[in-house]
Amino acid sequence: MKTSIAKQFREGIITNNPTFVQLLGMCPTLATTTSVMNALGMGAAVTVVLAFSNLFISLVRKIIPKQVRIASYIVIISGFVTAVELIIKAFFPAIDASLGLFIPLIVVNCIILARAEAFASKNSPFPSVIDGIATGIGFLLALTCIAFVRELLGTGAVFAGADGTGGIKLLGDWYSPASIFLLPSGAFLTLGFLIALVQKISGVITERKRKRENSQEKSDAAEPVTDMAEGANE
Amino acid sequence: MRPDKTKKGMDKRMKKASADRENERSSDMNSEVESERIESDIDIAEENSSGEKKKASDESRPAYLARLVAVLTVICVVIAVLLASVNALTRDKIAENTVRAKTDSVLSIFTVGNDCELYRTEEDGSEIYIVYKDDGIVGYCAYVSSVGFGGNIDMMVGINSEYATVGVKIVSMSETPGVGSKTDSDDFLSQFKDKLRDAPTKDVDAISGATISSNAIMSGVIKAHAIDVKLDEIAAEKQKTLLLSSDIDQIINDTGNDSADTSADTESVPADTTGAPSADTEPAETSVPETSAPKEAEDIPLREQRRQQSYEYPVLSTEIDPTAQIEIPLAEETAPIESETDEESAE
Repeated sequence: MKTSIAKQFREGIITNNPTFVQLLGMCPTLATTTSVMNALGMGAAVTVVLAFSNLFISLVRKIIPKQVRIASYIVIISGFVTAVELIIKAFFPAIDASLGLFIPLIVVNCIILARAEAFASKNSPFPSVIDGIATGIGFLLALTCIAFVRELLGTGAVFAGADGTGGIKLLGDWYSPASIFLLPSGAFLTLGFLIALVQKISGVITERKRKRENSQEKSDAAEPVTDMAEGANE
Repeated sequence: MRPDKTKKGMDKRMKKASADRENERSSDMNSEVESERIESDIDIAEENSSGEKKKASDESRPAYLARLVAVLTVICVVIAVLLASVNALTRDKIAENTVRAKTDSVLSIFTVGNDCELYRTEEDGSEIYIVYKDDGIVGYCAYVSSVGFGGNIDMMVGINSEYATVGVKIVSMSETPGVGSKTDSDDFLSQFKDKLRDAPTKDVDAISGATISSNAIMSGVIKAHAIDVKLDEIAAEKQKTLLLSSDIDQIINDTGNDSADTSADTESVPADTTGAPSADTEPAETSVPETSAPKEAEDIPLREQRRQQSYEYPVLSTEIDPTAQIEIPLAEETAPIESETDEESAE
């Protein structure tokens, strides 16, 4: 079951995106996307935890008996989350002040347990780490998209600092900020629309691919041998 | 010993190998008990030598349970060691960050000060910070906490040597965004300035729709004033001079604010328009709420002026005769008379 690194990244970021496709980890998604800096901080923290916990769980996967595997995974994940929380408190206090409670809540983020259960417990360490990083980056990009929309429509400026000041004002003074986007209802709305958009785009791409393959089959069936060059050009 | 090439023998050897590894890892456990368990593990392996999965009845055997416990214990120990080491590395930095956050908030209230020091900690967790400017004490800050709508609100309340509030800064709050969080704004917090110890929340308007948050902040300010701090004694103890607000105003003026035409000491309180809006806004100098009407410049000490001014109600112009009939004025005179009437009716 050896998949290339590039394929794993493509799966983690696009085809199997944890937020837009798997719909995992909705709580921190909705709560921390009020600003782009918060989303980046959260995504980075989750990526680090995913990478390390996948690595560790993959290393011990053969030793853990089936009955206690969830308990062991939780212990390992919460250990790494606490370590990340301490490091953020020490070296990035601004992020700690703005993300607050949601860093320890990474423990119960479904994405981490899902990847541990689905991938890390069945594969060797290096692919598990790559999977962790890919999923984490997918999560980070999804969060950034949502946060960009919410912050832009909710405040008119993006990339405001952790204390709420100093963003890049993209919409001029004519725009009166719709602060609903900073509230939970706006979060749900944004998320819903973005999921619909992603599904539409992926549907269109799948449709096109299917059509191409169908027409390729037809042309292959019509002139099987001599049109190999045409088939290759399709 | 002749190597046993039967399947039973292979299973036995594999079980022994994994049991050996387990034995190494949990070497702190009683090894005699372990070897017994290894034997029973091998028995289990022989029963399952056909390759069937373990049956439920086998899983309840003590040997299997012991293995579960051993694995969990080992994982917990490893994680605990990891966390202990990360904690040891970051503990000092976290404490330093907390102190720096508080110091920054203190110095942002008392912009004139250049040093602050934790003086004491009360039983309920409040802290008192003394603010110094070179050799003088400018005032003190009380770090208090009150219960808001969504949790505790921690705030720094700055109090100067006349025991008037200099400023309030929210250090942490988790109120509803857009509703209770509006109390963390200059509009609301600037109302506390220059209120004295016996009435620190007089005439402070709450934010509409955020009563609980506003009340929490007000009770925090009251709590801060209620802490008994005698600045005279502290000044004597630390052998520093106690700077009064007049001294502070002088320092600000000396540092080059454009207030050359106004003298700091006897200037009437509210009309100090020159230096007020500059970025280097002083602690004790007032940016008075505009509801109090301008007073005539009297030759009374600044402290007395401030004290009076807190209880001041807007002064009506004495030129209006309350008993006079209000005539419908001609067009040109409409504006001034109407505005005077508004002042009256607002009273």
